[in-house]
Amino acid sequence: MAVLYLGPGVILGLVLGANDGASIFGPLVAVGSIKRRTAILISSFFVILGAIFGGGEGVKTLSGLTTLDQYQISIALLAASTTVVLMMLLKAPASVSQAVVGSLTGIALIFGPEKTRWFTLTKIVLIWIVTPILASLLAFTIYRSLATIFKGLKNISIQDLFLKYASFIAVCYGAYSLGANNVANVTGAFVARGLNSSLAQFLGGICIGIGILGFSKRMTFVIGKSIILLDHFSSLVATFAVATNVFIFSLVGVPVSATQSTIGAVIGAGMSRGERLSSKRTKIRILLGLTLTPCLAGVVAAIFYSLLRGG
Amino acid sequence: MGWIVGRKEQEIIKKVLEHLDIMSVELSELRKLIEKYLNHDFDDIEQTAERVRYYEHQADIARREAETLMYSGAFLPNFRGDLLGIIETADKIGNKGEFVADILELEHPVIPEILNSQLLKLFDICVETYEALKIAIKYLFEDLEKIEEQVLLVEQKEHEVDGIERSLIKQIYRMDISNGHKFQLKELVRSIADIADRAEDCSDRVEIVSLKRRV
Repeated sequence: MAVLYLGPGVILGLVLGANDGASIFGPLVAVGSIKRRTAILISSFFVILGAIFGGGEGVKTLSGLTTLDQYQISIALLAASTTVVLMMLLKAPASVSQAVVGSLTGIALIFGPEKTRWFTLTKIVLIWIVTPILASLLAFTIYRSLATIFKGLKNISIQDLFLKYASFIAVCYGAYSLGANNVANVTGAFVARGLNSSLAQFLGGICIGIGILGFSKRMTFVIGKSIILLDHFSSLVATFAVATNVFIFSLVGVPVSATQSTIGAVIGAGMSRGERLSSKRTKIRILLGLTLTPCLAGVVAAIFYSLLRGG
Repeated sequence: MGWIVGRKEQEIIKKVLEHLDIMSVELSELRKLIEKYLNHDFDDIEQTAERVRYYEHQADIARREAETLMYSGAFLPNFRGDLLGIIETADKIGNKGEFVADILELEHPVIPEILNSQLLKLFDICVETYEALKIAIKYLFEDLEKIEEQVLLVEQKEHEVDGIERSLIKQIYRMDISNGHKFQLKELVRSIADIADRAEDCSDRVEIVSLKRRV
């Protein structure tokens, strides 16, 4: 029976792979710096490595967010998956991390505020706000540094080779960071209920990897093209910025949104080139995606829980 | 191992440069043709024109080979499109060379001797414009920073061509010849000058590529 409770975790892993995997390689695939098939294959491998070797801290944080039992956690994860799938169907970039935290908190609130560890929740929310801002700043800084190297490359053949190999490395780095940071969303909450941490990281990593392999196509071009269409160099910068951002938070142990990081990084890289996010529709969709996700996930989780426990 | 060092890219660069070199040969054949024509040395005009056509055809073959290679996955997609545009635009210079050869061979216009030196000068500067373009394209694969200087040279040469073209047309329309004859000579002058115009169009594309690479 305990294994059955992991089912929604597995589903969430697949959704996370589909949604956040695209956040990592979307900008690079959209401009053609790396082939989608190559990006998917290497990402699914490195995400597992990241989950195994770097996922420990995040798992610790999420296992201590609430005092829910296995059943409640499972429903929360199912609600989070449903929310993210809904957002994906609307082609709105949503955050799996926010959906998970939102749905866990949503169920916890049914039992009263004492079921939630408010200090942990506040820390997580503050970091959510910081995430896209830091990603933008990182993109800006990385742009300047990489530009110095790029300017030294005299001709187009060498520049193209540099962009191709650097894109490959950026995808590996990004996928590793994603695995390290986000595996906690998938199986972290089960660790407090007795699941072995290493096993949780391994299983979570596999699920995300399969999610990337099988379902990331739809979101790849949403992320890659709908915010600011970047050139090869800026896409590379954005991917490195996302990877570094997510990696930093995996060291801190707070699962952050790869999607939010990507949005921040893409805007930061675009601004380094003097471009602005001009489409009002895109702005609204991004804002809705980022603020609605945790709230919607909380409501969906509360509804699911009320229905499944019989009223 | 070729993909590590960009072997496909090297092959394409070789083909692109070969395409440009063949067009240089075509233009030098055209120079011989014009010279013979102006000197009323009509004996082997057909053979020389045939050589111009031959090199134009060879240039087409090299261009197609470069394009086919390009779509086998060399270079990043953005640049692939840009380079394709450059090759196509450069190829139009060769087409124009063939067109000038056709005018001389098929239409046999009567060219007043007074225009000879100016016509040769016009053509020579067109060739210089093309050669400057050729170097600009080479710099794409050698040193992007030097492109700007070369593009300026192309513009300068093209401007010079414009001046000679206008003065020739002015001279033609002051001559006491029929309107049809004037029109025929004007077309010849315009067609020769088009070589430089097309070289400038192509160098604009080269400049855009180099600007796009600025970070």
